[in-house]
This record gives sequence, C-alpha cells and structure tokens, in this order.
Amino acid sequence: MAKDANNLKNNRQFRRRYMTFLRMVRYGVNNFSRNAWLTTAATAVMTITLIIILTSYLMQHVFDDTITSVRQKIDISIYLKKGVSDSDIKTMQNNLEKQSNIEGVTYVTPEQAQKNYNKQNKDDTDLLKQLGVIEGSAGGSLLPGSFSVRVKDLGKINELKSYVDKNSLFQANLNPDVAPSYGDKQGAIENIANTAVFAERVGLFASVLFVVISSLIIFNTIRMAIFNRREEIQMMKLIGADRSFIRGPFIVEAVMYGFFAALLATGLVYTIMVLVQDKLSQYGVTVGPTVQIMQNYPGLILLATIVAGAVLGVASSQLAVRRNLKV
Amino acid sequence: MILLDRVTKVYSKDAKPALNRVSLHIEPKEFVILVGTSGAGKSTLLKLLTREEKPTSGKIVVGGIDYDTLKDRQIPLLRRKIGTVFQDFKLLPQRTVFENVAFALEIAGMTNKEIKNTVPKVIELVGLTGKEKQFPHQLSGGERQRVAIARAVVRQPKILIADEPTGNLDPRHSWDIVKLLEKINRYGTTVLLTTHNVEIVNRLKRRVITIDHGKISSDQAVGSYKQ
Repeated sequence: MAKDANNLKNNRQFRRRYMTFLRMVRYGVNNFSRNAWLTTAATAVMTITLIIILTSYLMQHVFDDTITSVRQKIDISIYLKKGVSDSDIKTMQNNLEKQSNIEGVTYVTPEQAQKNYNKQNKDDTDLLKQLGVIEGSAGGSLLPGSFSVRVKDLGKINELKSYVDKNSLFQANLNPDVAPSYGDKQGAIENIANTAVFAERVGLFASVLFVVISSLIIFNTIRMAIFNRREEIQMMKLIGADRSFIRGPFIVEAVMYGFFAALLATGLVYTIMVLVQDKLSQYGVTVGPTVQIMQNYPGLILLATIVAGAVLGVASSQLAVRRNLKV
Repeated sequence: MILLDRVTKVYSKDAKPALNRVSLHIEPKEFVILVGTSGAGKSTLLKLLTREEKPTSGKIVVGGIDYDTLKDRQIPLLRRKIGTVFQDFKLLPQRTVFENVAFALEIAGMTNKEIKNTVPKVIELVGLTGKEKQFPHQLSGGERQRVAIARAVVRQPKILIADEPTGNLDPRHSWDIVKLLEKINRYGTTVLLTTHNVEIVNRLKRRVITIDHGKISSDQAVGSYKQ
C-alpha cells in the first residue's frame, strides 16, 4: 500500500516536471518568435561570432595544409655521376630512406630530368632547339641522374648532408661537377621553416583573440537583451516563479539563437570557402583539403557549430539572468 | 492573517529607519487601506510582506508562515500564496491576456485542463471576457490593471496586496478597480491597499492605517485621509 502511494507520488512528480519542462520550452519558443527585433539582433551577432570561430578553426587547417604543401615542394637533389649501376642506385636509395628525417626519396633518371627540363622551358624555343640538336647529336641527356629527397624537418637538413658526406658509396658516385642542392638552398629553407613556425603561432594567437573578442560581443548582446527584460524577470519572481522556471525559457531562447546562427554561419563559411578555393589556390594557399573535410562531415561540423553557439548563448544568458535573479 | 511585531527596517547605517518598530495586526477577510506620503514607509512594508526585503529586526507572520523560519527556496511558495498588484501592472508584454493570467497557474504546476477551466472564470470576474487573445499593449490602463488583478487572484490567495493600483489610472477607471478589489474582498480575500487617492479612501469607509516617517501615526477602523 505504502509502495503504491510512493509510486503514485513519484509519477505525479515526474509528470509535473515534464509539464514544467514543456512549458519552459514553449515560453522560450514564444519569446524567440515574439521578440522579433531582439531575436534578429542576437542571432545576427551570434552568426558573426560563429563565423569568426569557425573561420579561425578552418584557417588553422588551411594554414597547416599550405605549410605541408610548401614543405613537400622543397626537395633536395643529390646528383650522381654518369654510369652508376642500378644496384648501387637501389642501395643508396634504400639507405637514404632508412634515415629518420627522410620523408621520401625518388630517383630521377637522366632522361626524366631532361624531359622535366624541356617541359619547364617549353616557351624558350631557341634554347630547346639548340639543346635538341646537341641532345640529338650526343644521343642522350645532358643532365645527370639524381635523388630527389623530401625531409620531415627542414631544420635538420645538416643530418642529411653529414650522412652523404660520410657515406663511401655516395662519395664514390656523386657527380663531381654538380654539388648536392641542399647547400645552396639551406638558408632559404631555414627561413621558410622559421617563418612557418612563426606564422603558425601568430595564426593560433589571432584565432584565440578573435574567439575571445567575439565571445565577449555575444555575451554583451545577450546581457543587454536580458537587461531590457529585467522587469519581466522581476515580475516572475514576485508572483512566485522558481528560479529554474525563470531561467528555463532563456536557456531555450539561447539554444535557438545558437541553432539558427550555426545554420547561417556554417552555410556562409562553406559557400565562401568554395567560392575562394580556386582564387586562393593560385596564390599557393591550399584550401581543397579543408573544403573536402566540410563536404565529408557536414553534419558533424554543423553539430559542433550548433553546440558552440548554444554553449556561448546559454553561458551568456545564464550569467545575465543570474544578476537579475537576486532578491 | 498579517502580523508585524516591532518591525524595523534600516537600509543603511547612516540613514533614518524606513520603518521604525511598526506593530500591526490584520484579521482575515479585512479590507485595509495603507496611506502615507511618499517615502513614509508604505512600499517598504509591502516589500517586507512579499519578502523582497528582510527586516532589520522584529517579527513578521503572514498566513501562519513565520518569516524568521522561511528559507530562500521557500520564498516562491510564499509568494504564490499572496496575490500582488502593482501600480505599473508588471504584465508580460509578449504574452496575451489569457497567457498572463495562466502564467500564475503554470508556475504553480497546475495542469492544462485546470488552467483552461479556471482562467476564463477569472477573466470574466474582472470583466475582460472577449479580450483573452489581446496583448497588453492593445489594452487601456484600466484593462491592464484588471489583467494584473486576475493574475493575482487566479490562485485564490488568502491575501491580496495592491500597491497603488490606481496610480496610473484616470478617476473613472480607478474607481472601477477599487470596486473590483471590494468584490474580491467579499469573496473572502484579505485586501491590503496602498493609495494616495483621498477620494477613494474617504468613499470606501474602511480601516485606514496611516504611516508617517516609518511609524504608524493612526489606525482608524472606519478611516478617512487628508493630504
């Protein structure tokens, strides 16, 4: 008997809580739809905030991809003399690939090197004509075979130089007329490496700064919106509303700001990325992989943006409501 | 119904007490008018009754609830037992007449069915049938105050506190509101009305308590008021 009474009481409490929850949601939705000016202003500011947050995050990706792409383009050439046997070439390539700082090694045959050269200078017909005559008369390529080496860390290029200098097989087969290119480019390579690290740090700092500033803007916008409704909050308190009942609709409203702003922000950022992709690529900025991520995981990115918007909105509104809930 | 025993309220150490050892007893179903000049202490007394303020010293008991033992989380429950009407109406601007009145029941956890049954009756009581779907800005001052009264009495409180309810109304609407308060009092609700309106006080011929400089200067069973 006592157990039944207890169950009945628990059921009633649950139903009452559920009803209260539904009412808070309804009030939040009503406030959102009936305060058109306020809703528009808060959603617009939230959209800008989320665009800044999303762009900051995506730009980090674009930046990383661009740096990786630039690094991949920087390769070191180790030129070999003519007549090196295939087995020696294979051994040297394998030995290079075993080095810890080596990303990849490609052997470029003299014929391939000549083809690449011709392709690069296809507009200089006089030069090619002259070379073609010489090439034709000599019956082969003018250029030596070489290893094209990509390193993981440009700052540790000296390790490669030291290895090549000390290795007897390399010393026996290096081209005596053309020295390895890492010596010539080392200064430039170090500069690029340092600039990349510096730019990464600046980018991260700028992103954090933008996110902090935009969060403060949305916080103040919502705070002002709630300040305008402080009498409403006061009235609710005076007729006996619980704190949770007063807070609830503001939470729902803030989540709605976050939801609609996230839809707008994600859509706008995606559209802009797609539109500028080709233009930026011309300047060596690698946008493609980031756009690809957005295309592969649209739901996840939208969800993350909605969560970010909702968290910002709810935190801002709760801080603002708390100030008005005293008494 | 309402008991104040040597209640003092001091807002800051240097200032004079807003209320100074005020003792007062109001019986159930009484209609009491509280008068006094601005700054006399009327609003402070009402704020103490609704627990917006705590007394510096003294004892307050309302409807059997001793405020000394009242915890913060119980304050909303106390306020649900006291109906309050304000000079500036304090309606929810984005909600209709029906929703404003229903709000008082919703916060108390009443079911939708109970709300649908109760609210129209109270709206009829205050003479606003047909205006349920209108928003406060679409109503006159007198009508807004009727909505506020409907919201205050919809939970059938034992006590109704009306703080200058006619302060923003013209004489005709003011008298309509006072008659409505009398009607509510006839149904058994204790009414505590504050006003500056001499004509209303003198026509009502009810108990009049005058507050002056934080003290009760007179308490007449059938009182009058001179400004």
